[in-house]
Amino acid sequence: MKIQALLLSLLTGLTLAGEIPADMARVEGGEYVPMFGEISKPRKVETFLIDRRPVTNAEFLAFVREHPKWQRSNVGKLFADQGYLSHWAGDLELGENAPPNAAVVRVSWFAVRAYLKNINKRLPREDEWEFAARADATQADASKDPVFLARILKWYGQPSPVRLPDVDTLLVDIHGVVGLHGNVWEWVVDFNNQMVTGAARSDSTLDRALFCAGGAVNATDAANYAAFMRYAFRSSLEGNYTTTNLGFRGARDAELTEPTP
Amino acid sequence: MKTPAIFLSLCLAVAAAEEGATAVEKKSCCAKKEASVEAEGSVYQLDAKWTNQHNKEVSLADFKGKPVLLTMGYASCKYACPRLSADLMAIERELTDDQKKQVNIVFVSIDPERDTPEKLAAFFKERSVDQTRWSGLRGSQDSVLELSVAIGTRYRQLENSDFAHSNRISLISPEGVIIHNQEGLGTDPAEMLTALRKVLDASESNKAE
Repeated sequence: MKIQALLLSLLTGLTLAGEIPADMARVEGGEYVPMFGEISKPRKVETFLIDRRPVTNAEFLAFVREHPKWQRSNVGKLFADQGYLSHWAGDLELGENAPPNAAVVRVSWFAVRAYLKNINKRLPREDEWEFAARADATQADASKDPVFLARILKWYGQPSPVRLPDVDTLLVDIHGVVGLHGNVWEWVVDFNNQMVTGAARSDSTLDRALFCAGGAVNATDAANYAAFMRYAFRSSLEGNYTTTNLGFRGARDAELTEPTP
Repeated sequence: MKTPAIFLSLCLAVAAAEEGATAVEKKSCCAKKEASVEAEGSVYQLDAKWTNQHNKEVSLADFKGKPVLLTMGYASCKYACPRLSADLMAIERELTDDQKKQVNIVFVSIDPERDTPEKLAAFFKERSVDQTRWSGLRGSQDSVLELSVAIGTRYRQLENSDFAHSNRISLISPEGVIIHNQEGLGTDPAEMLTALRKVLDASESNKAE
């Protein structure tokens, strides 16, 4: 039974109840209030698993080696723009600007989705990412802590280094997850969920937020402002976009499928 | 950070518009030569399977060869979707009978849970559209998301089981490249019609050659 179950979990990539892959952390679900959306309604987030580290250049290289379709010179422009992996030295060569153990950047939504599907993971949903990213080293929810917020906002004001740091040197949060803040921006699966044209069906919360954020001055607004930066950044993306400071990590439902006996 | 992000989106929007223009120009001169080659950026590279309102399995690539007007919405939508389909009909009305036959109209549901083929068929029937040329597609949540990302339509399920979504009609070339987007509801279709007639004329002159 045990062996069968283990085999099945290997085959399907599903984890058994209570077993979390070593490279992932479990984030207990709960409720949180996103900075906007359906105004100040708490949203429920189910328990989920998230990668402890962002995916690295070396890991992505191994993937494109196996899947030539996703190599720089083969990928179609529907799936990735011209900047795709352009900091690598070649199709299958990292070079000096892409340290093997640094987060991979310049990857499109389509490419990272293919990478994660291949290992039976998925991108985190925006709610999941934002929910997990409230944590600092000692609190699961540091989102109202001025020190935490000041650090995040400081990072947002700094340009990304050309050579990103080794992911093992990034700050660890209380879940054992590194680099949600202070390293690179990260893709979420539903990055395209905000209407930005003002022509949306119901209303255009982001447009409104764009104006509101201009007046962000006090400590409460600082929390919203940091989140606003992320929402605004995401809504400027398209599925084939790549940029110098946008990477990704995997996630998985924690709802575990018990193998049928 | 904010400024670069917004700049980025502006610049890329301009770049996309330029590419769109090139695609149209190219078509008028060498569509024949390129027809065998997979068009760069073609949405027909997406291999998801869909079910249409006649319960038939289709893939987007089945629409290859004719221009397509595509929109994403959902049938139980009370407000925008009836107006979106009215906008599609308004574009169609301006075409000659011959031209109508050369255009496929595709309504992709963002609510696959509720939009069964029967429901989509009823939605079309209510509007008395020609169901030989209008397709209502239902796919998996994942296929819907993938297509929305590929064509730049944004949507979100709201808590009352409605959806917020872009009101956008995309004109897709016979090769699968988006060459024009009409944004908003009740938009004057003049620009869309100019773009569409240009594609139709190009296909016509290719046939004549």
